[in-house]
Amino acid sequence: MRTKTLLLTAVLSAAGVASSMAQVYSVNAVGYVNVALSAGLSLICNPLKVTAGNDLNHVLPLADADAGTTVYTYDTSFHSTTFLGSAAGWVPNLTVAPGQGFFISLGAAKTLTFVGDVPQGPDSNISVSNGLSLIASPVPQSLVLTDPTTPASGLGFPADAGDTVYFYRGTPKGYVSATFLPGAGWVPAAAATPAVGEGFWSSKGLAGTWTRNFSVNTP
Amino acid sequence: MKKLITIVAGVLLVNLSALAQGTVLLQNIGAGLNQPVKDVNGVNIAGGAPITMELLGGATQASIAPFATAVTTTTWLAGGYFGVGGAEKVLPGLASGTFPFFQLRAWVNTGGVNTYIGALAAGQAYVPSAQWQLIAGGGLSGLGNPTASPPVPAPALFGMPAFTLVPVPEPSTILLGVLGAAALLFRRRK
Repeated sequence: MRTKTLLLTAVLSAAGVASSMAQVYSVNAVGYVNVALSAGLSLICNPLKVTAGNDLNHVLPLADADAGTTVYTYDTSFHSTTFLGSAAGWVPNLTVAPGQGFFISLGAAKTLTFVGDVPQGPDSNISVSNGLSLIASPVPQSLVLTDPTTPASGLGFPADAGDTVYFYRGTPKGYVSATFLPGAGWVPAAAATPAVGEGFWSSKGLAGTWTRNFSVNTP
Repeated sequence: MKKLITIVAGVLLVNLSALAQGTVLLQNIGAGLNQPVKDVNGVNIAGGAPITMELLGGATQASIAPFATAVTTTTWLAGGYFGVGGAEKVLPGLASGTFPFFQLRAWVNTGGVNTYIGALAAGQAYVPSAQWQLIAGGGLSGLGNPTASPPVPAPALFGMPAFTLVPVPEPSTILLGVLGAAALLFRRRK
């Protein structure tokens, strides 16, 4: 009897340990994102965080055949950089962190592959300035921007009445815009849904914080 | 020689006007702009209203005029908002980055009335809005530039004043008014 009890206790303990082990989650989510682009200008973003650095030499290490590819970032004005081949890399070596949109000018159609970690926790929150800014979803998700009052169904963008976003889409490419109206949401919603790897302009009356506190375990 | 100079100047002007292609969003809401259009009773125009809104523009206030190809929208959202989410409108003759002068005019488009002149004849026109100059807003400074690299997005109608849709009196109403005034004057003289 005592032996049986001991055995049962041992089995239950083992089962308990096994089940507790099963609830140990991975902290990081490493992966890659492919973004297919046509020749010419595209408005994109770096959807993943690169541990070695979010500078272009780490984020977009292109091949010699891609020399001449140009990237335009924006703060209050445009800054450009050109890829001069694998030896020289990007000159200057600008930063393209997740949450930041940028234009890329390609000589030929190409699929870019981004490799890195999914931004989580504080890394998935960004500041959005008032006025014009070139931004992107800090997390690689394709959902309507929504607003902070309805974050569950979308990306919880800090939208106020009149805020407008512009995506660079179509063939030939041109801007499509959506404007936030209280009660109606983003109009039209399709033009307020960034694809994974897509950047966009934000025209805001008031600065705000785009708070996601994203977790791959509880997305 | 004079003829040659005139021809060259003319060609240059044509080319410059072809290059001058600023863009605007024909909408009355934007970051820092919220100017719903109202009817004579002070009520916001309803969503889906059968009203066409046309933009007139010019580099100066004196040169405000309709565009060769009318710049219009017929999209209305509840709350008096027009054109929201529409495509950027190209404004021939108005350069990107500039701050042109604008005016709006509107009409009821039922019965296939698709011009303001037609609406005046049909008694479906509204009195045009006040004129205004585009101002910077939402981080955008002047008309958008779709051909720049990278292209600059188009602004909403920043600076737009309040706009109430007041029907243009029909000619018969005007005539009655004139007759009434004349009768009053005649009576005073007597």
